[in-house]
Amino acid sequence: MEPLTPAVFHILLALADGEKHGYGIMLEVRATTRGQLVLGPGTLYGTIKRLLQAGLIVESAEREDPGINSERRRYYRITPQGRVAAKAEAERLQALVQAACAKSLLKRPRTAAGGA
Amino acid sequence: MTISERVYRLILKAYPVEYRREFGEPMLQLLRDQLRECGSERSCVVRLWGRILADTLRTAPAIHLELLASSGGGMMRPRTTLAVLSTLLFTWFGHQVVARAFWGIPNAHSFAKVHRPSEWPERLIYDIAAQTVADSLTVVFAVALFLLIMRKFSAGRLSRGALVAVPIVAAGVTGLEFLFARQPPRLEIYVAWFLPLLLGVVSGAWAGSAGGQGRDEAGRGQTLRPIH
Repeated sequence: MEPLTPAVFHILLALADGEKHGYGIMLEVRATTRGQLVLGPGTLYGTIKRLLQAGLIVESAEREDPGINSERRRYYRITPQGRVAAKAEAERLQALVQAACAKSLLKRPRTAAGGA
Repeated sequence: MTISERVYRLILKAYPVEYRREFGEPMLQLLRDQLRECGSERSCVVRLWGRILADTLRTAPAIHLELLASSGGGMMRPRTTLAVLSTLLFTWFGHQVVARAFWGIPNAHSFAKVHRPSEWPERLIYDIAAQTVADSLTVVFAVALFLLIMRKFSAGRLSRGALVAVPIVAAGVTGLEFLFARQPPRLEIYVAWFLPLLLGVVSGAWAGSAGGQGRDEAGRGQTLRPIH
């Protein structure tokens, strides 16, 4: 399985814990990347379009988000196939982090037991 | 409807009709959400519009190309699209190099634009035979290059290679022309050389967004990466 782009991975990651609408995805990606990645409308929906075509996400029923306003919004949900792709990418990134730790580029993450 | 929404509706026309029909309204909704978030903070609105314009410039051509490349509802593989783009880019560029630097005559119009008519007048004669040979060779070159790209190389790598190769070769050829024509190159030559560079940038951006479903706005370039 080949690597996913950051935009694809972040969208899948945003949807991993439940369905979201476009703005919700954008907010989650911005928060996860600490503001480093702000998806514009073209990038966000261009990527969503390809993810839909690839079957990695599906559209859910349109409804309002009471937390924002009364506008009806399209929601998107990750598919099992999308979850597999996101997991594979996460594992790939984890392996890279481990390699960086082994070469002392990064500190090893602390474990629950307090080990190095 | 606010002025911002009206303006964005106009901007959305940069996207293909089919795409707009499907995602136009959610994109407009996203703009409304972001504007609401900015509130009355003017700098936030300016930054937002800056991001939106950059995003549109980057994604609208890519989505157009993607739809152009699609046939019968199935998307052409990004690598194929890139191969087509790279082939067009390199063919045009190669033709320009051959026409300008070595033969001089195949493209009398562009050649005349670069050199003053008073200099080398014999080379401004439109040579039908040479033009035919040049065009035939260009077609052969284009087909061969396309096959080569598809079989041997990553089209994305070639597109990025063009970004480096085009200015270097352009600078070299421009220098040679300056040396032999003994006159500073005119504006047209820069347009002629930098057009392929622009194409290279577009196809490079396409490599990031099509193969890899979008580039991030933080500006980190991505390589051609299929979705999975």
